[in-house]
Amino acid sequence: MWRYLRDIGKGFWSILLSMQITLRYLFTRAVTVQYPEEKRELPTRALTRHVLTIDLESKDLKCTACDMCARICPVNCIYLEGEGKGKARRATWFIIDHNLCMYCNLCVEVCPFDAISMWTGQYELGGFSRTNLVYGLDTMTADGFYPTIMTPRPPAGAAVKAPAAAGAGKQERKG
Amino acid sequence: MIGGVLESLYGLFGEWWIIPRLIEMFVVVSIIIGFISVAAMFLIWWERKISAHIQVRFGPMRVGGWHGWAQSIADGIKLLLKEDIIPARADRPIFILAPMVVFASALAAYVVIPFGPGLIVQDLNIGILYIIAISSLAVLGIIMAGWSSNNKYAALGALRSAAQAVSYEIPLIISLLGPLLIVGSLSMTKIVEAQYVPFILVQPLAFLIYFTCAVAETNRLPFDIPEAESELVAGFHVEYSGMRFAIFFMAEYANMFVVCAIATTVFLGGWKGPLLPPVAWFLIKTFFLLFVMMWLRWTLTRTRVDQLMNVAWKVLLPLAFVNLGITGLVMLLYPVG
Repeated sequence: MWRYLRDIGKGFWSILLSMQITLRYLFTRAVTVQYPEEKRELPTRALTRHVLTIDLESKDLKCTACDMCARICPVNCIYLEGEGKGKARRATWFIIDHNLCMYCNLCVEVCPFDAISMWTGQYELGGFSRTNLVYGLDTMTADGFYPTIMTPRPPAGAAVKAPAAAGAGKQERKG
Repeated sequence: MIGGVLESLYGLFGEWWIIPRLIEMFVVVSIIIGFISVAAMFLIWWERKISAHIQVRFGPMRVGGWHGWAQSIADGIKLLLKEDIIPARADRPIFILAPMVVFASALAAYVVIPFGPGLIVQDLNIGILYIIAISSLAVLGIIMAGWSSNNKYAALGALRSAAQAVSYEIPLIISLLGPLLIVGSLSMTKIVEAQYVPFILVQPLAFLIYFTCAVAETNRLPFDIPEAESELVAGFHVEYSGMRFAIFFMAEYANMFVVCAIATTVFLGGWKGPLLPPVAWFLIKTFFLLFVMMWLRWTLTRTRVDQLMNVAWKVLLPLAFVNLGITGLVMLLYPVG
């Protein structure tokens, strides 16, 4: 008899406790991010849509159409053609097919002139057909993508390890 | 004003008083159905919001602008426009009739709910008995739905529902007997008028038993084995779609409102309260109980069938009898005025 009553009391008490917990959760702020209205801040080095960077002084593309990125790309999503010789060589065609791109960042890492970047923060790549996701030279250089603005700053202390800094170092050594 | 209109109507028809009477009844029923639909739609939206916020998300946010308030309206329109599917081997007339029976039993119970002093469709002198009798009819509709669907899950759900309703009705009625002993009347208005203090303070045990049984009667979550999604798909309404499903859904929320309204009337002092108008007090108390029901739903897990029966027969029923006995004894020793 005593055990029976104790069981009922315990059951009732545990229900009250659990209800207290759910009530507390009812008034905690929802973690949902209402996407189109509010957007989550991207990590500093989130890999998003490619952009070809521009040399700030000459306002010219850094890319020399050396074909390194196209060759290292595991899914062959980069097609490019160039004209000219040596340092004057410039890309005439530069197409990245984002239907294929798997955001591995290899093209950025292999680029000897730091001419391509994936740190643009542009991840809304929806389109109504597959051709909407094929980006040519005009789209990748539009909107004034300057490296100083669009390239995120590496966090303090980690500057040496950052691929951009390493690329810059290489460039300096060459020059 | 309404009384004047009615009188002139009756005068117009003279000895054909049955015609204005029918018009009057039709209008009253339309008002009740309108109230049920609006309340059910609000409750569905509210439950989705509460469940979402308990799970630390937002729930519907898009339809209608402010926190998705029009979500239930959109859902209702969607369900109305859907194809009405009746299974080929189903028992057609019973299949079609079942949602109507369930909804009618929910609707009929609204006749004796006292929203305020005088705001009651018909103050029957057997009000609470009438509600208990009518609300048992819902089980019939559920069994009809389950059996006529010709589906093993539906049949299982319906039989479980029958077992559950039969076992939980007994402690429910006996727990209501305690307050009724004090009042000495079955009329809903008299019950409210008799409460100088809410009966929850006099009869806390009866209230807890009643509320537990009410949750079970409406097939809500800790006791929702008739429609247990994970084992029975959806229980008795697996085969229903479109508007018929919507009617079942609406009947569930209408029933929730009924049981909470009875709890308000019998235990929480009905429309009584300071400052605010009586109707507001009645609705506030009822909606608070509805909130507790939703809160319970998103707190507790589903019970097993044997646990369900244990709770009904081994815990609630003896406690209800103890409550009734003690109440009777106290009444005998200290007779009220």
